[in-house]
Amino acid sequence: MGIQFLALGAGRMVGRSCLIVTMGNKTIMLDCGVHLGKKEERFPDFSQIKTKIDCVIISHFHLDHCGALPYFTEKIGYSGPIYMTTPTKAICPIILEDYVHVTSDSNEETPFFSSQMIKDSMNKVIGINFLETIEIEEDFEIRAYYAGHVLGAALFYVRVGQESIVYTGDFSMTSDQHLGSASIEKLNPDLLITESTYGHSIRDPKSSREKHFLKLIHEHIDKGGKVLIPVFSLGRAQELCILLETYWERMGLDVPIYLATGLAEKANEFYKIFSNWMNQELKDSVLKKNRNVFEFRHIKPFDRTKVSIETPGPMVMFASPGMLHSGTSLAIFRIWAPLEKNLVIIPGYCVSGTVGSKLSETGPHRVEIGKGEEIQVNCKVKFVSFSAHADMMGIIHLIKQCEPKKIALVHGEFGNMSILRNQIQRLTKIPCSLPKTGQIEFFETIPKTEIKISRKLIQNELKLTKNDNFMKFSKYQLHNFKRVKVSENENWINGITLTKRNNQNSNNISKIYFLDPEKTIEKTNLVRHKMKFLETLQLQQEMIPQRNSEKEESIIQVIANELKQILVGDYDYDVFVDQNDIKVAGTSIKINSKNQQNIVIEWEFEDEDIALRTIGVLKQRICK
Amino acid sequence: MKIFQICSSCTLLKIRDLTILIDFPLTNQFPKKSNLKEKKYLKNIPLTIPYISQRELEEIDVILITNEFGITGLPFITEYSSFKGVIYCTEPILLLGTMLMEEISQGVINSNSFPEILNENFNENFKENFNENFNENFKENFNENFKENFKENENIKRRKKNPKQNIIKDQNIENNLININFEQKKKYQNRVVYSLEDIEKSTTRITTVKFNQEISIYGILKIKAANSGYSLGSTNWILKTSTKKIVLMSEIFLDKSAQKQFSTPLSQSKQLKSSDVIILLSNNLVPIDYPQTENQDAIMIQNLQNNENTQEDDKKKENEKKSKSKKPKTKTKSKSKKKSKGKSKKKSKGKSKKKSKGKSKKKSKGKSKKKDQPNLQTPTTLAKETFPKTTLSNNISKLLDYSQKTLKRGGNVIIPFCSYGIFYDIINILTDFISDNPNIGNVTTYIVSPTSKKFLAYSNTIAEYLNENYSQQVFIPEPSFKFEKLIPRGKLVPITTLGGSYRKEAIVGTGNMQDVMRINPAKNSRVFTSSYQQQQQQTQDTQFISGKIEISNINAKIPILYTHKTQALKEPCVVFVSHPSLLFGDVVSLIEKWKANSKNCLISIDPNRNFEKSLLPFLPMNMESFNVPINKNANLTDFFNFITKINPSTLVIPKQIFKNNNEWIQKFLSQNQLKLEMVVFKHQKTKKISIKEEYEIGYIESRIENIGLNQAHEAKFGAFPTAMMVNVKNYKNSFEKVLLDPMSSDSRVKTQRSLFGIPSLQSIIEHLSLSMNIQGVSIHSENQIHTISFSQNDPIFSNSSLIFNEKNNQTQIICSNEVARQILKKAILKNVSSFGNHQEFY
Repeated sequence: MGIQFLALGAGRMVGRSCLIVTMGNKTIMLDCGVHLGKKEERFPDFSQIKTKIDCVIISHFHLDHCGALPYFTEKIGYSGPIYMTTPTKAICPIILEDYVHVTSDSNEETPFFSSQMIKDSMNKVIGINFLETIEIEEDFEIRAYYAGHVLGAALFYVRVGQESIVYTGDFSMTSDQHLGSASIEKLNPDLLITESTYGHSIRDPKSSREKHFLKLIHEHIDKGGKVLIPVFSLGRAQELCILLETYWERMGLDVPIYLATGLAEKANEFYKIFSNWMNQELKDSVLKKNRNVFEFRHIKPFDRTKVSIETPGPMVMFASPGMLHSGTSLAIFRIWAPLEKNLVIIPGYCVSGTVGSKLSETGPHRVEIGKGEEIQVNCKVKFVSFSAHADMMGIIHLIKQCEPKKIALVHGEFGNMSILRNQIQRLTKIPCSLPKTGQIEFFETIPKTEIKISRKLIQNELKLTKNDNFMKFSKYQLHNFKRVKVSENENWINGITLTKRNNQNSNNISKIYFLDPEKTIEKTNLVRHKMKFLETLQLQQEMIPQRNSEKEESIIQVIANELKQILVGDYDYDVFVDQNDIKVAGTSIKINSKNQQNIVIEWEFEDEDIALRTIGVLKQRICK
Repeated sequence: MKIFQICSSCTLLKIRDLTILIDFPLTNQFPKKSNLKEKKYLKNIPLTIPYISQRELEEIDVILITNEFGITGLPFITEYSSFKGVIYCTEPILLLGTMLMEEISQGVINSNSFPEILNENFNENFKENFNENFNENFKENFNENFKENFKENENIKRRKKNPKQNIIKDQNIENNLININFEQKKKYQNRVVYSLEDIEKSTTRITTVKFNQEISIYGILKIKAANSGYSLGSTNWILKTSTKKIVLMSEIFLDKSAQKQFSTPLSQSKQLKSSDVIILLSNNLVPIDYPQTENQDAIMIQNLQNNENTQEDDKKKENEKKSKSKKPKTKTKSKSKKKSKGKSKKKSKGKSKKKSKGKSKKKSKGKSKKKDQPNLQTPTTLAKETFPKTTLSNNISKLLDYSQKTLKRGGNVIIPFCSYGIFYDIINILTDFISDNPNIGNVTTYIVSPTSKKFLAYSNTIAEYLNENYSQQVFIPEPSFKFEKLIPRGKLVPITTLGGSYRKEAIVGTGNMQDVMRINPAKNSRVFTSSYQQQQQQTQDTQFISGKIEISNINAKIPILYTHKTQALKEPCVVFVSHPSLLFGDVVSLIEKWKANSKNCLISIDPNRNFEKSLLPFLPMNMESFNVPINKNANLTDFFNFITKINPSTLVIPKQIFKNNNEWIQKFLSQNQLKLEMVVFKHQKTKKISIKEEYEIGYIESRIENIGLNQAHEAKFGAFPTAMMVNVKNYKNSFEKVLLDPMSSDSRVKTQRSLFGIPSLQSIIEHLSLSMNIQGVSIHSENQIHTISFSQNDPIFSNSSLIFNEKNNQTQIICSNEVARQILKKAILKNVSSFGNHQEFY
């Protein structure tokens, strides 16, 4: 048994996430993204898929995770189920739509899929909620966990039969202005597939980056400069808007902030509707304060007819797209860049070839902005990364939460990934591999065999009373319940395994039971044999006169007291007196005194150990 | 598994020694008749919580909540008892339930009256039946508690002797009830059911779950919330032990024809498939056999009935209710006659007419004196003749119809309201209907409740709990409910309280300030107005804001909460006003104000309340009143069809339902050839439900070959002594990882000491005399008892003997010499063994 893993993208690289995982008899596609930088390798090579895909899971709405979905469903012809969280389902089509426009506008390419194709594709999507378990078929289920990163991003757990994987998509382990941090249960999957974008480094805390960001802006608007922040309409824009909004509120600033992203209002509407999917603080503000943080007071949509970007005086402008390669942000950049007091802050990752990637922080320089046109950049340029990926500590933290048996790293640069691999293996001792794009990798799994364990046996072995059960057992443990002795970590139960075959010749075991002796007899044709022992011991002379002075019963009492001293103290056995008998540790050991000089001990084979110990004590202290 | 119904909406379940409480609502009783005349009912609001003692609460491990109302009693448990368990519910239920509690709490405070909290259905049966085992356990395990326990039993005995004794007044018993303690008594005097602080603390104890999220409870049980479709977030709980699947079904929405009008999705049989046991907790199924309204009354009786009532009494009361319930119906009739335009719902009207006619013939009405009709037609025949299968859609159209008529003639519509998920749909349907209707399109709808703003704000964020028609809206993106658009236009106005002339006292800090506090627009301070005014002024002046505001420019940071003085309602209007009990909240004053005018009307949509009885304090009134219960619960046919799809082996239903529909059910089962074991549980009686469970399921994390289980065995079975590791500390994964070690190389594997097989006498003697070379072995046999004795001269074996009882397959070694005992033992062990290939013991 094992898990077959094929990366059609994101293997030792960033972008075009598309992983094919086969386990049991099911094949699952995890993400279906495009490569934003390389035109030739835009789509994953779907021809490498040899088996039928049973389901597609999209982790979040970023293009390198969902961009190729309409292509896969409408051009390749996949018609099975597609799963994504509700916010992802809502935002995905907008992002795709935008992507098609931008690429076809700027590169004069023919659009590779139409709006109709996006719509048709999205109609096949089934929404899933966080922590909801969807049983696609019997013994084939998926579950989504919160991943932070962007609105609606999810970690996915997939189980087919006994085998399971966890796919992280992109995730962040620190909460930000609007989202919480990723969290997962101890799922013990056979394979954890995790992103490793920033896995090689330990990043500054988010708060210091935020401080830096705000300080830069405040300095420049104080000088009367204009600040341009190129962002994509969804995701980072909202986080930064909240950040600026609260800062403005706190500092009492009145410099105008404009949001010149094509979908600004639509985007904010989405964020309002999905405020349930964000962090607790935001949820509370909606319900308790009756105020939605996405209803901004200081940030206004940019309207060209009312406000001119050439108006003198300070101004903050969010404009899309984020990589400055076309559209509004480039148009504004063209006008603002030559002026020295202005500032451009690039908060996201810029793919090579875009204007954003050509800028540098080192002072005035000339930049080509397309079609041979070059402009002088005199304004300040700053890169303050806000992309929400987990760093090395975050990834290792997630691994420890999840406790996988094997790890595969994807979505990172090869060099950085090997640093992370070494760290993971050093700190967690879990084998870790770096699958290559286009190469099939096989992860062996250990099959589990189902075993039926008799409840009675558990109860007996753990010395539970009739009405107790396993749970109560752990409860009592907490309450220092005396009768159950539990070792710190492990408890061993002794019993009989019974294996049953379908027929005598077959070598295959059909059922395995773990039983107590009684049940074994019931299930088989065995006969129980009982072996009893009886020993007579002579009392010591010193004991006899003592006995004479008192009543008959007290001999037993005397013996019991002697036994108690040692057995209860040293071995923790209970000693009960029941009329003329003494019972030790609730076993079959019986001690009685028939005449004045002797005591008789009776026990069964099962209790031999305790019996011999008891005799030892008796011989030492009371008998000859 | 045992089930005990404390009251109709609160049930205890004991499964595998886990004690699970399902719902804990705070409900209201009706004011005593003696209080009616002097309007004393306003002084004392009788509220009840299900009876449960401290001791039982301590034993409860989990509380599962199925609907919003199930939360409302929880502060009594979490804040005033020693309950230590966990509480689970879905997110909408937590939020709406919290609002419900705030509504009650605020409503009672504002109504200037005292809540009187009682324990519902106090019954010693509970102790006797359900707790038999509990008590035994206590004796055994908690010796220190034993004395107290004994005392408690004394109380029960005394109570038995004197059943009429008022239980609340009995001091000793009082201590056992959860809500009675000194502090709380003090609080009563302050007219608080529970404080906002109580509510907040209590809700932090609740763990929210998502639908279909699997949660492990101490490793024994996995629970999962499944959508019941009844209201937002309302839940049917699925309990999974390692081998069985049990469904706790509270309510269930299956009406496909009505689905379009409602925002919640239908219950899906897919989730519940392959269940072994289905437990129907609710009495609230809509029977097809008789009209819905009557059934509702019957249920109310059930809620109200006291223990002293015999079954006959029940019947009487039921009949009384039936006759009562006709009163509004007749009004409907007369109305429809007067203004019969035969507009839209000809069918339903016709039918309701028929019904009321048929009934009025049989019974004479009248509020105060009713007669039982001995030859009352059986409900079954009635239903077949006159009643449509679904009453839900009809009731909605009735609601719209009545509202329309009232508004057209210039009257106001009062609809008692609480923060219940169904009201999202009602408001949506009604406002949609009004704004589409040209004659009454300008009518404003008000929602008057301390939590109305929260209630509306929350409607924006719940898309994932809605059905496709509504959740699709968010992809546009648009708000899920159409009424959202009416709020900015001032057509739907949330108001915290009507305030003003209806109330005398001002309460600071609760969100219900009566008098307007106007802070002069000094430097940088703001002027506050009501949200209503705010709606209109917002466009001109953005400085107007409402709600909780901290004024940073004034020295003291006091949260100031606001409403307008006397909220001017633009008449005619529709007012959703809290609280549906008609005992507290602004609804009381609003009815008092408008009841004189016959143009106005009052429409109750709550299926779980006795509307007639609630109205008694307000009589006489000219205002029209209608009871149009919107009950989304499934009817019997739908329910049983649904069950057929799931095909469980056992169905557990309340007696209420079984009794009334016995014949029908039997017929259905035989027609559909359904093999179903029916278990019927009675109110306040413990019922055992047998589910056979012998095994836990574990997994061995290793190949079978590796652990040696696959070794060749000739027999059909192979058996080994083994040990298994159970990790108790991490109980969550207790049986997921099982380690088996059969070969006892590990010291943790104890040798299996049970012996199997029959020794042969022959071989024992051979072993002793030949192998061990012992002289003087003699055998004495009698009645299949063989005694082997030894020569007296033997230094080791003298005084030793071995008795083999062939009949019982038992051997006894009598011996005082250690060496001799070991030799004799070995002689027997040669012949018997622990297991097959595992011969070598020592």
